[in-house]
Amino acid sequence: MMRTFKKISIRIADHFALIAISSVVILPFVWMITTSLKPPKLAFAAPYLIPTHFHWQNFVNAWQEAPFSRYYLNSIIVAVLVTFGQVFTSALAAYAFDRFEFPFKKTLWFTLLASMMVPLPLLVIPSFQIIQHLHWADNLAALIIPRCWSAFGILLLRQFIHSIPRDYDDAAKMDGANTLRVIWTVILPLARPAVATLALFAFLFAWNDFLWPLIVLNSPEHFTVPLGIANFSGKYGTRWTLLMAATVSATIPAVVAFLAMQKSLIRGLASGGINE
Amino acid sequence: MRNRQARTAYLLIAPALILFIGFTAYPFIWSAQISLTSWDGLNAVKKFVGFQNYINLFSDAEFRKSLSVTTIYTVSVTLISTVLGFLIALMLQRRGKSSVIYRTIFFSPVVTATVAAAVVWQLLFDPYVGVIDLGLKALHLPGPNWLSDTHWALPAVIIVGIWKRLGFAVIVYAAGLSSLPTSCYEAADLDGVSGWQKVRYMTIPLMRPVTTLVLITGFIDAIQVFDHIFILTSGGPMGSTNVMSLLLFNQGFKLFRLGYASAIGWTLFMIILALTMLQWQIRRRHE
Amino acid sequence: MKLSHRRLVSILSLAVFATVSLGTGSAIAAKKAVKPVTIQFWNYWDGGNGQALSALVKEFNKKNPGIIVKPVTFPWGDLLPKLQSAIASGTTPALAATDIAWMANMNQSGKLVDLGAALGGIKKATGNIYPSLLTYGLYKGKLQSLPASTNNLSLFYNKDLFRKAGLNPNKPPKTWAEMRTDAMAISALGNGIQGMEIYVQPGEGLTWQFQPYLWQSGAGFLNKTNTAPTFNSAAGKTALQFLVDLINVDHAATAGQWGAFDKGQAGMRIDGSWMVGGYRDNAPFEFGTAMLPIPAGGVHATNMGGEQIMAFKGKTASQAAAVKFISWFTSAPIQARWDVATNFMPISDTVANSNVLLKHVAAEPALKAFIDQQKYAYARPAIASYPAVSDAFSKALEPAFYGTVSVSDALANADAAVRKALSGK
Repeated sequence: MMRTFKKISIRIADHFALIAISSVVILPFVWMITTSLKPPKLAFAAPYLIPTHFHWQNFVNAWQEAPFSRYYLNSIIVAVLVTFGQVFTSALAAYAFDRFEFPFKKTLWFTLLASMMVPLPLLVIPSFQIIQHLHWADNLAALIIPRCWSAFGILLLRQFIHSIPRDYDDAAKMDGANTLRVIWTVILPLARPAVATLALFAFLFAWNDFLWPLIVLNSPEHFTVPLGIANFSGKYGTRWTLLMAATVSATIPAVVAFLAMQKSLIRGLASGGINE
Repeated sequence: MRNRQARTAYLLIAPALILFIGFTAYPFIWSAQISLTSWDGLNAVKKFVGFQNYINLFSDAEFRKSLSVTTIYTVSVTLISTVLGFLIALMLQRRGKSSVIYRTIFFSPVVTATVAAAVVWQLLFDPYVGVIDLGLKALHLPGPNWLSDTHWALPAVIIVGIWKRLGFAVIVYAAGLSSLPTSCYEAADLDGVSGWQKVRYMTIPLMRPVTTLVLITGFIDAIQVFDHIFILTSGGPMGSTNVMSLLLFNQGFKLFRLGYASAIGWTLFMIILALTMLQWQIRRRHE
Repeated sequence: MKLSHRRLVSILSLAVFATVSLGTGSAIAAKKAVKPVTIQFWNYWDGGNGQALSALVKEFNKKNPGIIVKPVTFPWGDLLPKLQSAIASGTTPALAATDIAWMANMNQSGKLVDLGAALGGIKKATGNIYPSLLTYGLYKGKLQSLPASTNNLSLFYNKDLFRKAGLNPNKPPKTWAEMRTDAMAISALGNGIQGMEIYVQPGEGLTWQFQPYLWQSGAGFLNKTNTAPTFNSAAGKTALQFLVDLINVDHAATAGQWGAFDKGQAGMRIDGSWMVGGYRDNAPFEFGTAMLPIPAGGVHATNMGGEQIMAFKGKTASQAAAVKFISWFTSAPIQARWDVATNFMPISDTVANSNVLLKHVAAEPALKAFIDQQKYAYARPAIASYPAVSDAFSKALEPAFYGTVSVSDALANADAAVRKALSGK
């Protein structure tokens, strides 16, 4: 009897706690959406969290005044290419580290792991000089190519590939497949959860990236979404409803995309060797 | 046979390795060299000054302040988001059915471009028209000036940091919890072990690898924080939110003191290295 | 076998020949149909000013089909570092418009086009532009930039708040003492409302907003030869103490982020003429402008702002296009329309007396204060180390506004920091 009472009260407490915390977490989104739909002079008037006006003109103006479609295109191009790059280079390297023996293997492995501790701000100064020498300044190439590898990706994929029996490799080889074929037809499909996890991390990293694009890019037509938003705050000055329409445009599609990808993400994380 | 193996292996590693050398290893070493000069990035001349930059760093009040600000931020955000994330994951698991809505809500900040979120938070924290202070005042509580107040600006950016990080901890812990063996828990139930004891003596130890992952990645992430602080306060007021990456950015890209800025970067790296080694030692001793 | 082989070869060679001749043909044709020269125009004009610029640039591009000017807008604080970086790496844009305070820096780069030579002589290039505005572009006898705009700082005030506080909305303060009592009356309204919004965030913004107080009180900023600071004096202390007390003693102002006035939460602030249009369209309150209040025994003074437009050396076609744009943009009729759209001040009498500008000024009463004050505008020191000087000065003063450092200590620190910056670190 006491037990069930305890169980129910814990259940209720959980409920309240979850609702309270998630309300705080979702607050910025709700306020952002509501404000973006208000006519300009009502930006800071009540109601704050429930949209009662639907001034869609804000979105029209926001998109007209700054090339949002351009920012999105740039962000997507960069994020997709970086994701492919990281998955490709990591899969190849991870397979090599797990299935092969070669000189300096241990040293290379530890160096790669150690590189995860190097803070990005440390690298930006010399990296910017390198970019200028390569004449990649103000070019999307500077955002993509340096990021097409990931120590975390190699680590993650190696662990997963380790759990795939070599028999599969051998079977494919007997059918005449070379190494690349083996990776593409056998390993990657089996490692899908880990690959999906890596892909998500890579995509999010490239999508969110701000400091490096801030340093490297100048022309607005090359801007990614974060840079576009940062630039806006100056452009829009006191037109907050317009600014909110801009941030809604920048954030909501990403959230919707996550909703669509949820299931595979959770599966990927769960089977990605989380518990080591 | 061995040679062919080695050759194939190196070919496979080559893409990642080339990028690593070109864009991580080489800049890493070069930045060490820059930190020993007084280069301004504009002139070709790079004057060697030895460890002068490092000496200047530690005698500079601005740097010392930045160090303490970064420490407070990193510890707060990492610990709070990890603990809170764990608790929320526990609560979600206790509910039994998986909740798409909660997962989406908690993970939304993670998939949001930090800069966009910061622009919104800046208005939320506004002392005159921001809903946070409006809410506090409605509850008859004092509403601080947040981003303009030397005592409240750091808590404000910490709140945003936790908000951004929480979902990651929740999702990772949720995944970890879902793959726990139920057999141990059933045995514990038979022995009459209470819920809290189960968590303390079974769940937490079993989750240790996950916790290590969340803590270390959180720590490395938080110590380099830049984006939302740049937008919210630019390090102010009076340097109360001047984290090291901001200091590095301003010294390197606004004032063109590249040598000094590189020294800041290397100090940051040394701290990460030292603390990660420490973590490693502690973990080893536990096993 | 052999025959079809031959056939294949002949078809292929025909194809190759056709492609090559067509290709060459179109290449020749393309050369004749001149490809437009695209040049970048780096500036920091955002918001309404940015839109006004885009409109004018569109017009220029239409009139000059062989040239495409692309405006690239940076936040004010980023433009100088980006230009310095570009100069160092040889990736400069063809055109740029920078703060007059940075011209000393730009002039020294050696990368600016001699506009006098390019436009048929200095006299022809400058017309009757006010001589004071030309000094920025003159370097070693060459004209390296022309004024693209000029403006000054005046007092903005919230008439609605004045009324609420029982003050006459048509009688803005004329002296520091009046400003103080007005500010206190408004902050007495409570609810976090500030009487006067003061700029306290470190950077050129703080320096630029505080300098008028120094000039009005006679303290000055740097000496005549720009070799030493003069603000660490009794007059300087009075000026700083006045603001510090407004914050920490009278509680008529709060040290914090800039923006309260825009939201109708402050009674007064100092700002530039370019803000008039924005307030006219967006402010949720009625606003007015006035000349800056002066201290007892002081003089009228304000800060002179503005931008200079310049061309960077580069490819011949780009350079020529850039010079053409500069000549067009600084011509009187275009400047008059520019000033109407942005509320910047005229750069010459011809512009000032043009019909379109006279009509605009008559219709916008808020501009009167700026026009009257233009003759009292002081120029900031035109030295290469000015950005470093301004940065050091503002960082030393910030703690004084927050009350953590005394006024005399803050000024002493600023004095030392500015001397260090002047000597080149």
